[in-house]
Amino acid sequence: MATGSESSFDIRPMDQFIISPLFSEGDLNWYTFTNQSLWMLIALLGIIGLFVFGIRKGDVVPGRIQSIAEVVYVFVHKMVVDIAGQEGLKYFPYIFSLFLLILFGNVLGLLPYSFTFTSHIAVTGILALLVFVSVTVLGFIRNGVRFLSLFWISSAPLALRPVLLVIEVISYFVRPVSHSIRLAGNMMAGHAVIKVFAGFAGVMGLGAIAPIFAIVAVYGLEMLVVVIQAYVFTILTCVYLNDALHPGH
Amino acid sequence: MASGVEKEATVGMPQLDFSNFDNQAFWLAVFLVAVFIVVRILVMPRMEATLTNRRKIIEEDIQEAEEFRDKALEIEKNLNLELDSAREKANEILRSTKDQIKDNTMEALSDINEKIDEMVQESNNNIDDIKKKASKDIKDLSKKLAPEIVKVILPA
Repeated sequence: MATGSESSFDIRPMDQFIISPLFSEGDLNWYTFTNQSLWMLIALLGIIGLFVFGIRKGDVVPGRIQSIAEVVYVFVHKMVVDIAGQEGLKYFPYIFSLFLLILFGNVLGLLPYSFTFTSHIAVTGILALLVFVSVTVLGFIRNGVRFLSLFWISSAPLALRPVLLVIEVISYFVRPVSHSIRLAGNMMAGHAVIKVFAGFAGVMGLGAIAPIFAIVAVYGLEMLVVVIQAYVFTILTCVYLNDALHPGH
Repeated sequence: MASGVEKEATVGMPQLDFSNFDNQAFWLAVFLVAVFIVVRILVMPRMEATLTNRRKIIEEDIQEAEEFRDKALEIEKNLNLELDSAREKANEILRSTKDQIKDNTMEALSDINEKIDEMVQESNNNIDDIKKKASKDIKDLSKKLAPEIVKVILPA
């Protein structure tokens, strides 16, 4: 760094999120393979490893790996049925793919030197927009104009309904924003905090024991958060899907 | 790279660097589709087959267990029936034996009574005979003794 005197205490918690090309120097084109793409590839390989090779034998009494895969599968399957009903099962493959990609992106992001692609608002934004657009289109295809009854709360007093209409419409269009920022924000904040503590540990010498303990604690918390955020993203997708399938309530 | 870092440093949050959104969108689309294809073609059929197979095996086992249970219940019922009939037979035997014993006892009792009666009769007869004989003896003795007594009382 050019700013020599400061460099001993130069924590850059956000540098871990910088997207850079892997195999080529210079500009970033739309097709350039980046560190982000690499970790998406690793997530894909992880998914294949756990869910293709893990259940290859298909034992009646599952082993350890197969158990993990089955628990995750049945968990998401049950979530879709519980929230969106049997009709929701038609969209289970897409919801399950979303869950797996986000889960593996989140968990792999906790590895040191890895890249968390779910911390990028571009990624989560696209995922959330895909859900938003497809759910909205689906709602109109399945219910026609009746889909708009989602915004007209027939169980509320008539005088309140126009007010609720405005609130409902606003909240409907805020959905993709909150949906995506919730995930990206959680991922980014956790990793930045760990990086900040790691920066402290790097310059404190023997006193580094305190920030290291803090890192352990935050890391434990993050283990929880990465799974919960993948779960939250998926369950919200199910809730939105349910709105499209059954707009009456 | 130094220039790149400088550029990022001015942005602050790399997430808000919109210049690479097209790149992120492209690779996300590629891998999302890839994951979807993997899930749809490789994961779901295999997983559903495994889960269905397991459910089937469990159901079959339960059905088999139910059949065995029914069979066991039937066997128990038959056993109870046989036990009941055996008990009844035993009671029957017991009752008939009791009756027989009672009859035998009665018969024996009446036999003994008859014999006793006979013996009493005989004894009575004997007693009568002895009495008669005794009274005759007394008479004879009296007849013999009478002159002797007279002789003693009336001397000369």
